Amino acid sequence: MSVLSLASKRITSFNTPARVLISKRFESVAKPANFKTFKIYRWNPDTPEVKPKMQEYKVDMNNCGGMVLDALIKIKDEQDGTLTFRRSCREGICGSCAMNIDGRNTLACLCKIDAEKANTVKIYPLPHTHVVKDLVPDLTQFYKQYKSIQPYLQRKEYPKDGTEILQSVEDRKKLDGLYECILCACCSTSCPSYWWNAEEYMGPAVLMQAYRWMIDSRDEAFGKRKEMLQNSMSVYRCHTILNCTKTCPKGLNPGKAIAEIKKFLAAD
Amino acid sequence: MRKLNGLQKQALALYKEYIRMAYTKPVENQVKFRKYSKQLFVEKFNKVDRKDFSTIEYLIRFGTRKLEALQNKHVKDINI
Repeated sequence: MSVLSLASKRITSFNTPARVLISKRFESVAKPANFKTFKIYRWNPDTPEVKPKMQEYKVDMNNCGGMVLDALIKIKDEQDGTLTFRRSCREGICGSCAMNIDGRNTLACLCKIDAEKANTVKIYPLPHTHVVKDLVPDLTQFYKQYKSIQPYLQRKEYPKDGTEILQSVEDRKKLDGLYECILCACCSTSCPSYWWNAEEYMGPAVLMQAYRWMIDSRDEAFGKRKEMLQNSMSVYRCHTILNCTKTCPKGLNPGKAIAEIKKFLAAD
Repeated sequence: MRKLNGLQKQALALYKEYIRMAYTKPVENQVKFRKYSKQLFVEKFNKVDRKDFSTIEYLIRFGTRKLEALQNKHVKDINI
């Protein structure tokens, strides 16, 4: 085959008539319906005496996005407007849509609907949290704890000319794998230690942020931060179960950060 | 009178806190706060079955959160 004929072939394929394109576009409609069942935890605070229940929804996967969040939004739009859940960025950067999907804490927007696996997807709110409504957990305690570690830069002097505080490349590298945390609370609520001692144990997400501020070269409150954690509950309730690392939807390692904090504390 | 169980005691203690909160408010509005508290407990909380523990626990949590909001010293008046 000559080069010329190859080129002409390419041109013909490029000039596909519009009619063909349209028929291709609607091909998915003609496909047989591919239903997937979603079992979703429902509870309404307006009628607290009615016990929580699992409600089933069927969604045709042929005209639904690939992620669990797409299906949830579709259900809310088309089947049941009363379904309540938090969502915002739909790309795993806000941490709003953290929930328990098929027994694993993850972000609905980053969790693919598995086409091969069993036909039902079970969705619960984050485990061991008080539920506000349906899939919305009450994270007040979590945020209180985050506030208690003072997650902001503390130092006595700032550059006189009002510019930024400089940091070497190596020091900046230490923060990689820590600063990416979006505080979705997936790890904290997956930790059995945190389930039983949420009042006093800080939980992996908060401890990882505590560590992030401890090793920041620009921060001068290392001693104070260490003192705050130096007791039997705040850190030492971590028994290296490592559910946190396993479940983190961003692929971070809170377990390692806690281990490093323990090293600091033990060296005292 | 039947001896109260722990949860009932908690609920009563919460109600007392509400009444105490009412007394920290400006004198002319105290009646309104007391009335509001009573309404909250009678209308919303009294309907629940005595043995429906999970619901009572939820309502106590709910009531505590509401109390915390009302205890704020900038809250001076309430409309029922």
